[in-house]
Amino acid sequence: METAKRLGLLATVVVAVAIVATTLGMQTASADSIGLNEDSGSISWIMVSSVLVFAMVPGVAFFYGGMLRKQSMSSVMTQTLVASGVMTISWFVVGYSLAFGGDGLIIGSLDNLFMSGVMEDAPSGISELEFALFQGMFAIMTAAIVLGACAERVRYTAVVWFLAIWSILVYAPMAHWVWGGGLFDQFLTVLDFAGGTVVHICAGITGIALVLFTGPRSDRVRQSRAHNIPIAFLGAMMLWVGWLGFNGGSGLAADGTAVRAAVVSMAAAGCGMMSWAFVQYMVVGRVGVLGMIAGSVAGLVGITPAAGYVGVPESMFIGAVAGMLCFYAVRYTKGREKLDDALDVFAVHGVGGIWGAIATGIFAVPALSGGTAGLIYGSFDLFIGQIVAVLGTLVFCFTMSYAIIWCLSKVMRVRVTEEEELVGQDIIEHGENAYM
Amino acid sequence: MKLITAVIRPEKCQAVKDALRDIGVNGMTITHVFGRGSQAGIKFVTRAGDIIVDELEKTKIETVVDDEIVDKAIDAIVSAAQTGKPGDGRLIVTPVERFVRIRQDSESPKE
Repeated sequence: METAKRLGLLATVVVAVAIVATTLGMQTASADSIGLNEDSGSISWIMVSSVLVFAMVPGVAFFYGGMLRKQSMSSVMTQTLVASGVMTISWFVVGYSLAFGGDGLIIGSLDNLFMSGVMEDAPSGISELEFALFQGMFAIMTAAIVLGACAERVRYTAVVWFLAIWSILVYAPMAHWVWGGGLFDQFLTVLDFAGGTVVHICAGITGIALVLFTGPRSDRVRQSRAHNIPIAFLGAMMLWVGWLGFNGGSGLAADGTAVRAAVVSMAAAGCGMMSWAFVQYMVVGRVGVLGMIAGSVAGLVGITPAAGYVGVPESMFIGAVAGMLCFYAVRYTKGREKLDDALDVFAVHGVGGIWGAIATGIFAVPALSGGTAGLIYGSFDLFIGQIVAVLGTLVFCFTMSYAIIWCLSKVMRVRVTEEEELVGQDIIEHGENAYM
Repeated sequence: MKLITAVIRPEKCQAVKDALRDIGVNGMTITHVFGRGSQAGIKFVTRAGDIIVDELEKTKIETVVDDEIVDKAIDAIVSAAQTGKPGDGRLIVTPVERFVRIRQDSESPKE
């Protein structure tokens, strides 16, 4: 057993070294700057947006960790770090190339392994390397969201392996189909401004696959309340701030579209939060931090695919409906015995993302979206395209994610035992209490 | 009067509260505590060796009851908190020397 493990490790190292050596050989020395790029505004804004999106990643850790037991805080932070590490490596090594490296129907190409041939300079607009950085942040963000659904039960090692495989088999194809000129782009009329399908629906349904495979947590863990409201608040506000770059940067330029995206994102977030608060006040009788932050995230998720394509009134409607829908989705999933979505990832990101994608199909203004008209402008193409894209995403991401975790469960223990769960992953897996 | 101190599984807290309410015991003090029993914690096996967790999460319920319902209260707590597996906890009954209701400044057991 030990010898086999050592041999396996050795083989991995040899393969890794071989890949690095080959790719270094392929690296072409980057040419000197191609003249002076006039568009330093766009370059700056997308750099800032990339940083803002990355700031959402610790935001997710705080947002989720604060809503769980105190015995899971370190575990959530560790898993978020895994998402940052694994997705960064995977994206720069192979993910970007698979997603944006070509016009293949299913997948890109392997031409840009280790970012070879992706240049940091461009004659105008932003360079491809900057685009790759910005997109890489989205990949990290998606992975971090997924881990909220299956929190408090999947083992650390299983998370590492799952994300490594998932980034290549699920995230890269999804990004390719929607943004990289693949399946959806070629056969359907689809609009996804900042990742409603690729980020939110994909994360939500992947979370559901993991939750269904690993099963619910034990009652004690499930019934425990949010351990730190201030931390959850801080995380949610970091998400909100970061989201202005997430949506605002997705036009890939510092122009009017970026301004519009930021404005409608604010409007939708405000409406989502207040509509959630209103419904919760009517149904439950009182409102607090946890409800309002979930509402703001729901509004932001809803506007994500539509951000660049709608006006302020439509965005307010989209946000308000997202808040209400997600509130009822949370209530519905909380009542399901088997469906223990720890942090309502599907109810908020999944349902909010689906509504956002459909709403884009209804409200897209042709003048803003480059001629693609929504339902209210009398065109059915986009509306139908959006629905097909949503269904395709749901089926593909669920099946692949379930298959990945099923395969992993054959070679390793993916779930913590009930005893370990009760003591908490902070101690069992990491040996680090978050609090003394 | 007797002081009942029960150290139970946290997930059984609601069941114990309900069982005590059914026999008319409403007043109690609930504390989240950590400790270990006769197994001296739980041993877990990791890649690099064993780890022993000897501070396990429990809930402590303290309530003062009249002598005549002590047995009923003990039965209620035990049957509500029992799973049969190690870690179900302990229940201690201690005599109460004096008992004062602060609002009325009286030692009478009745309101």
